[in-house]
Amino acid sequence: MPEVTVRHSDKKSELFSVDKLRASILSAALANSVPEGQATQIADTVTKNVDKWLKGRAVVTPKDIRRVAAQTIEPLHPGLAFFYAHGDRII
Amino acid sequence: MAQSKFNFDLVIIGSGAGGSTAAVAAAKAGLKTALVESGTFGGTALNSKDIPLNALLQTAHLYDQARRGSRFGLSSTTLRYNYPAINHFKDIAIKRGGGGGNQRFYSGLGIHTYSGLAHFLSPSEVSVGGGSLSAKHFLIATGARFKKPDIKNLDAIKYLTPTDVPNIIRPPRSTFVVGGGRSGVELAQYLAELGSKVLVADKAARLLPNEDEEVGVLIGKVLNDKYGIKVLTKSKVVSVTNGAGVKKVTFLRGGEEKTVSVDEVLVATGLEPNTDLGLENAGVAFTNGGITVNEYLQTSNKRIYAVGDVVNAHHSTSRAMGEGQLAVENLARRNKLPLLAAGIPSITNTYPEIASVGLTEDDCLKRDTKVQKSLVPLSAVARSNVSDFHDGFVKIVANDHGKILGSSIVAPQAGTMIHEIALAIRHDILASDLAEMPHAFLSWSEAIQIAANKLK
Repeated sequence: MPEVTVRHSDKKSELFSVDKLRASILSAALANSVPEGQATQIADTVTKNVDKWLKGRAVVTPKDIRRVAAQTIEPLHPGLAFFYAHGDRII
Repeated sequence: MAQSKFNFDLVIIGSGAGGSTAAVAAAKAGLKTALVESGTFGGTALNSKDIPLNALLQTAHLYDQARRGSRFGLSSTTLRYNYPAINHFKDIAIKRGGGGGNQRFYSGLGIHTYSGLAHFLSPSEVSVGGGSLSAKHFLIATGARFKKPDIKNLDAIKYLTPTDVPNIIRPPRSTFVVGGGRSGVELAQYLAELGSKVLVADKAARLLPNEDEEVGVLIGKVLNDKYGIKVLTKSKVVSVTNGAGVKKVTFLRGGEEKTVSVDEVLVATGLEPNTDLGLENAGVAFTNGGITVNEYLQTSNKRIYAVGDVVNAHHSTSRAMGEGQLAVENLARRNKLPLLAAGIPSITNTYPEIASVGLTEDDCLKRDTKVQKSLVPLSAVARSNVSDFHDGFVKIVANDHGKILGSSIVAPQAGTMIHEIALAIRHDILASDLAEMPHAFLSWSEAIQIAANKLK
């Protein structure tokens, strides 16, 4: 898949990393007392959905990724979704 | 001289009916304009909806009318159609309409064109492809896309949507049409005219539930009696499955579940606006129903406008075009003009055509508006006799003072006739004024004069 750039509000950019996203979701889930098996499942689903959403997009913001991740998590774990939607940094 | 901090005066996202009209208006106004399109330039109206579908509809109506010509002394025993040739004509219509990727048309007007998915990074910047565009103003005209209904196993079968129909290589032997709105009804008749055995189902109590009641009732009767289409109102499709070379559709009607086998399923249940373009980053408010705009077509970010289906997926192509024009005019002027939505007509291209403008009788009842109405069957005018056409009517709804509020017309030339009423609504012309005006003998419009005359 073509690389996607994540542009921060201070105009600094970095390449989107699906591994980094996965790790951050896992870490957030475990910190919210989500059982490990479920946390892995959520992380897999989110990274798959975000990857799909990014198709055709070249540049996005961290808020976009946070939003799409939270929307994916919402039906799976509403509490975690809220945390993710309002968290300071996910990447 | 200070240089502009923006690349462009205006970036338009979407080159369909609204975006295209806006782009041409912007170019004429001398604005440095960029036009971004993620699909084929020209949008859905030009490439996969209005133009191609109507080319097909007109062909099918012509074929059907010719087949029924024996009552006029015309013989049609050897009449047949060639579907590849029908498709070829449709392709010509698309090309003549400027579709099929008309990027050069815009470039020729000095509009900078970009192919790719636009995504807002901030209120004044969008990313497209590998780069970004900044502008003082934006106009969002991204339209709407097919909304998958909640039908069990729908993903397990291959089904058609309205934009797929221009690409089919032959009409199916039998078709189940899910959805009795404008697209569903047009395509149900189209396929039936070319020989497909058709069923059309809708949850509502009549076809075309957003039109006046008499329209839906009449069209249901015409489709059933003249085209052999099985009309299933108050029916909910619950599931679909693949059978042996057929598709099985299960629907709930009158408390009973029934299953039919058909060759094709056409899902025409509606659209949802294309709002997934980072609107949050631009401060643009939106809901599931579309982007929120004020009467000047400005979004919650006043430098960003939105027009067409992305605002409301039920709006017509003609409305989108009007909005595109108005939005560009408004962004250039201090005293902005509101959209006059009342006098914008819409057409359903069945035979007979259905056209409506303004408020339906139901709309008036919901607003507690006291109305008077008149409904004149087409059989009341001389043209009905010479054309041997008797299905159809003109209905006018007016307030107590005779100010016309809305109208529905079902007639062979309804799409043309409706403009007289649209003009009356836009310019506060009373029913009595319409009644006084001479209408040409043997025109269908004589029915408008008669209907207006019945109102005080």
